[in-house]
Amino acid sequence: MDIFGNLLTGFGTALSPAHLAYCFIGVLLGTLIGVLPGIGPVSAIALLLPATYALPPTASLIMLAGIYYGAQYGGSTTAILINLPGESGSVVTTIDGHQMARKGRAGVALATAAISSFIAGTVATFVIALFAPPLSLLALKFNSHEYFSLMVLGLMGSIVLASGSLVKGTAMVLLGLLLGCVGTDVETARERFTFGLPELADGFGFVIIAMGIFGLGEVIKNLEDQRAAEVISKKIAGLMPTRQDLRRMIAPSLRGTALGSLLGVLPGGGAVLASFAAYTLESRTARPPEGFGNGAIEGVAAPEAANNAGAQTSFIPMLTLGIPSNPVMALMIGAMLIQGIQPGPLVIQQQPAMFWGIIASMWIGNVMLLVLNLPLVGMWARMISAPYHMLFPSILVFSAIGVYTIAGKQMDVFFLAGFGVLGYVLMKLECEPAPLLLAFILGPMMEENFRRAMQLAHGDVTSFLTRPISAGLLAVSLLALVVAISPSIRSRRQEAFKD
Amino acid sequence: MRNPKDFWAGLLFLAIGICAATIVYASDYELGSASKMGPGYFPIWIAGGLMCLGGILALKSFATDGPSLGTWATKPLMLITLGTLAFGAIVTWAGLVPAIVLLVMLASFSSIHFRLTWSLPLALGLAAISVLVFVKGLGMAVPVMPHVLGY
Repeated sequence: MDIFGNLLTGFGTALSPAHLAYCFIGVLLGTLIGVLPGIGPVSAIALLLPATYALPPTASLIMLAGIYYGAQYGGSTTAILINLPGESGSVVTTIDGHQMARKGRAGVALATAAISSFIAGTVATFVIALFAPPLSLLALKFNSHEYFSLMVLGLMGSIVLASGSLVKGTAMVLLGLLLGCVGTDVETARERFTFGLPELADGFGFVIIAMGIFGLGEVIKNLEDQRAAEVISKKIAGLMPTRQDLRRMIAPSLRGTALGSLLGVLPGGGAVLASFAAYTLESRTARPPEGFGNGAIEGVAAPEAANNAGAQTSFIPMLTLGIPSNPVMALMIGAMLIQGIQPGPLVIQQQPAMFWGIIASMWIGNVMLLVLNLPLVGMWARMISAPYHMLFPSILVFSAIGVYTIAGKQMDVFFLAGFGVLGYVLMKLECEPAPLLLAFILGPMMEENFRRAMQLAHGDVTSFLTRPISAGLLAVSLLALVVAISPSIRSRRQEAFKD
Repeated sequence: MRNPKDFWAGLLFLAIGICAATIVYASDYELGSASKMGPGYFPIWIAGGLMCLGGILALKSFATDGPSLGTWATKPLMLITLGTLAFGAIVTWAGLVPAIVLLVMLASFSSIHFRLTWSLPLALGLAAISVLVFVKGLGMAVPVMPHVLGY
């Protein structure tokens, strides 16, 4: 396996002026949107998706990847400056990051986030280059049984990792699967749950559900309590970390990177699990003088490295198996389908320039983030102080336009409104929407593979357990569930989500 | 009940499960067999699962303690839903600009900080940006103004 030759091909693609420009625009827009409170990577990508429709496939995916990292980094900025995580991946960052900001070290905290993200991004790029090709070869051996079991593992992961009760998480997965059933049945061409509406013959669009629940639903939720969030208005002085700061962040960054790269590959995992795990690991190993929770630089470096590494390695199952491991990857798959690319193990062989170009552009995007963000931190800080009552109408406008321009159907906008209401109600009842979204995107694939597998096995359910890879995947899912139910982990899990 | 959030969530899942199962039976989606599944096989299992979990949640809510539902954002909920519906209803024939202005005005009215002095400029500004970016910049085939005005 000639990694360097492949990476060279990739850099050849990614370094073309046009692709560099799209990468830069992606990173810039992503940061710009991600910095806004209440907008995480999912909403940011969904909002900016229409802007990539007109681009050629490689350029559009490079730009989307840039938007993703940018949004992720922007989320950390919001977490540090106003103690409001833009997305679940930066929840942990608020603990020590915001404390640093209150002590007037906001600049150092932001720089730490940028530097540790960069370290993580560099390592993760190599991890992808190293492991994606062999994994895609393995994936070619996958059959319906293995695909089904893998998706079960993914959904189990999303249930275990969602905050709140496991019963609710499971119910949200079932609801997502049910929503995925809407549309024409692939095997029998029978329309299901369409109520005779031609707009539903192909099912609900993923972007509509994502924007409705995450965009509209969250806006309404935020308007419940209309008092202003606490803003750090203190001038951000001393951006650059001292030599001692740098020394302190190296080891946590590397530990976070290792953990993040590993956990990012797991379906259902990605950035969120990675950042929580890294913070826990750090609180066991590092001994910061001020203690965790009081603005320890280790408490920012480790989770930030982990969530960036996890964000990046979560591309591995998407690019090699065609299976999204989180809602962001589901959106990326949607974008690929719009561009006429079927994600899966064959992409790497049929479109090597595009595949390696995307991977190379991940690293380039990380460099740009570093260069872009260090000087712009002051500007982000000012942007965050824009009042929410002027921000949320803009979110609504871009959601509505984004949904309408997918196909120019007004019915899609009506569905958007409906999912906004559903999203708000679900959030109100403390049902986390991420598992629903993942189940919705996996649902049709899961049903198809389940039916095919059962047909091959003549209706014998035990065939999922007699095939080794499939049985292994199911065993891991079961293990995840057992671990989540076991009382000691359970209490710690609740503690972790309380912060 | 002592845990209203779980109770209502359970009831919601139960209701959705019942609706789905009813549709499967009423519209006669064939169930088929395990080796040759019909279009109703997968949905009916999911509907059954939703009913079970919903029931468990609702029943358990009598035994556990939980926070109350809190206040509902009724005004934002109604105005934002109405605004989005209005956007969808008029964008095809009236164009992007009136649709955006209507959406922004309705939505911003749900804010306690509502003033015409910022919401109207915001609406017009967003309309201008959207037209520039989506129609002029990205060349999307979306009408800008009502056809009557010659656009």
